[in-house]
Amino acid sequence: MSETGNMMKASLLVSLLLLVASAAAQEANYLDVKTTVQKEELVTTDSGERQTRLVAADTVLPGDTVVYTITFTNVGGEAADDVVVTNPIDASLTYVDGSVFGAGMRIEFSADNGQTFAARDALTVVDNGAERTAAAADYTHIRWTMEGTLDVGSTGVARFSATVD
Amino acid sequence: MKTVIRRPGLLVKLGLFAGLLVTGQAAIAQDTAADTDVTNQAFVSFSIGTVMQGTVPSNEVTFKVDRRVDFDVSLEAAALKPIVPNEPGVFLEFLVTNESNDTLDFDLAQAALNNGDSVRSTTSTGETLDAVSIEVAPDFIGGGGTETPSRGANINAITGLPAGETIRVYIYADAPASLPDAAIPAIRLSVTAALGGSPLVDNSGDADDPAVVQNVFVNAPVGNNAILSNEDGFTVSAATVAAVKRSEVLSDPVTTATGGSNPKAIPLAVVEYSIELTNNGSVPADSIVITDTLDVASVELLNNTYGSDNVDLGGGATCVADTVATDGCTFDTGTGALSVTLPVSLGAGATVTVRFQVRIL
Repeated sequence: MSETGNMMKASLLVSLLLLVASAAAQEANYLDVKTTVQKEELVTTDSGERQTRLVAADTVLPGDTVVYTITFTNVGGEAADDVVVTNPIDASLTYVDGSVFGAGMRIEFSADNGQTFAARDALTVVDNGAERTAAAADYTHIRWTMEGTLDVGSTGVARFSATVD
Repeated sequence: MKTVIRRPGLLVKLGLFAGLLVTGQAAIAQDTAADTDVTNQAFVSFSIGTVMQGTVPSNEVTFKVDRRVDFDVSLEAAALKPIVPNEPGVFLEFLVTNESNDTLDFDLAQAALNNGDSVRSTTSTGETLDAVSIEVAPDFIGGGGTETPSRGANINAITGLPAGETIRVYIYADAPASLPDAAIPAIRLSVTAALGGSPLVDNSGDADDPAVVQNVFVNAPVGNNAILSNEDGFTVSAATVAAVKRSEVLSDPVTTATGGSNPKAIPLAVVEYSIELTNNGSVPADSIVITDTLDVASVELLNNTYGSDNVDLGGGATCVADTVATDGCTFDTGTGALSVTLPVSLGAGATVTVRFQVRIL
């Protein structure tokens, strides 16, 4: 897909976000989208090895890392094309650099509240008048774009981690 | 295309990476406040063929940021604070820092250390001080208000210390006159994290509840509360003055008149009293006053015995003990009360001898 196409799609998506409620009612029969949150917990095994495990995000403190998993299943009767998952990052969270996951999907970030998206190394911000590559702390949105189609009955997974500020 | 969704190996790697970031995070000042709701919701757009189908939102997931209870009690001074006996208004200075992610109250309590208890790099000698009170500064450091506590209110709590802020706490006292030289009286300040007038309780053992702000203590609970303490003390520099009084018969009307060398204390004999003062303390003793009472029925104070004066103050100084107090020495012929004020300090380890002579009636 061309860059122009991406831009058009991004602006279209923003417009569509404003119609979430009605769209949800309209499209609920085609895609089933779920989000879960878990917390990472460092544990030390009996052998002294430190490991990370995921637990329920019930007790969460500043500095903790939470993992968001978005699953989307095609529950409709037709294959879905151009599937794009957009996830705003809460203001109290900082994205963990390198933590994003999405098999078979192109991953982009936004540092301007979802107005523009670019790949990790191509995204820039203006900081004190100077343009620089955006850092993880700058990200406001993450976007996953499926390279292929989501067949009927298939499920896709998008995931990222963030620390609580 | 069938989407591959199971990549457990990658997730483990991501988790380890995230763990390293957590360890390195030190931005306490920017902590998310307790009770903040953190919400996440994803939006999915898609098309069927070339026809856009709109956007599907996921469910919202929300967790509540819990309360990390963490604070510090540190000492402002670099060493024990020097005081002298009988010194009023001495104080120790503590700093209480709220390192939690919430505004907290703190209950304060003080207690004297026992003999042998550790304080700084030494041990307390266990003396207690008088009129001990805890005072809290009106405002935290950098808060724009008064940052130094004053004596008088005896405040036993810090109210509403914002996250990341430090406030001064003083323990005021009066030093009793009985404090010995080199004593180390010390005091422990105990600080208990509280909220709304009640000590916070550790919820670590409770069932997790994503909808409730729970308390997580950074330090191990004392009982079930978050309590930290610190100790500081004073080092006493006292001047300990010892006095030894002696008498010597200088002459008597019989022995001396006949050229004898061992005069006796017979009527009209002259006797010299000497009072030897030694400062066994570690600091000079100032304004030393010697009081003595002569038995005026048996003896009379002789005048002009040391030049034109009647009291030898040692070191070549003299004074006149009479009814006039201008030179620091007085004598009441009616009661026999003699008062001698030393004109100079008596240094640590120094000795001075004061003399005066009487005649036996």
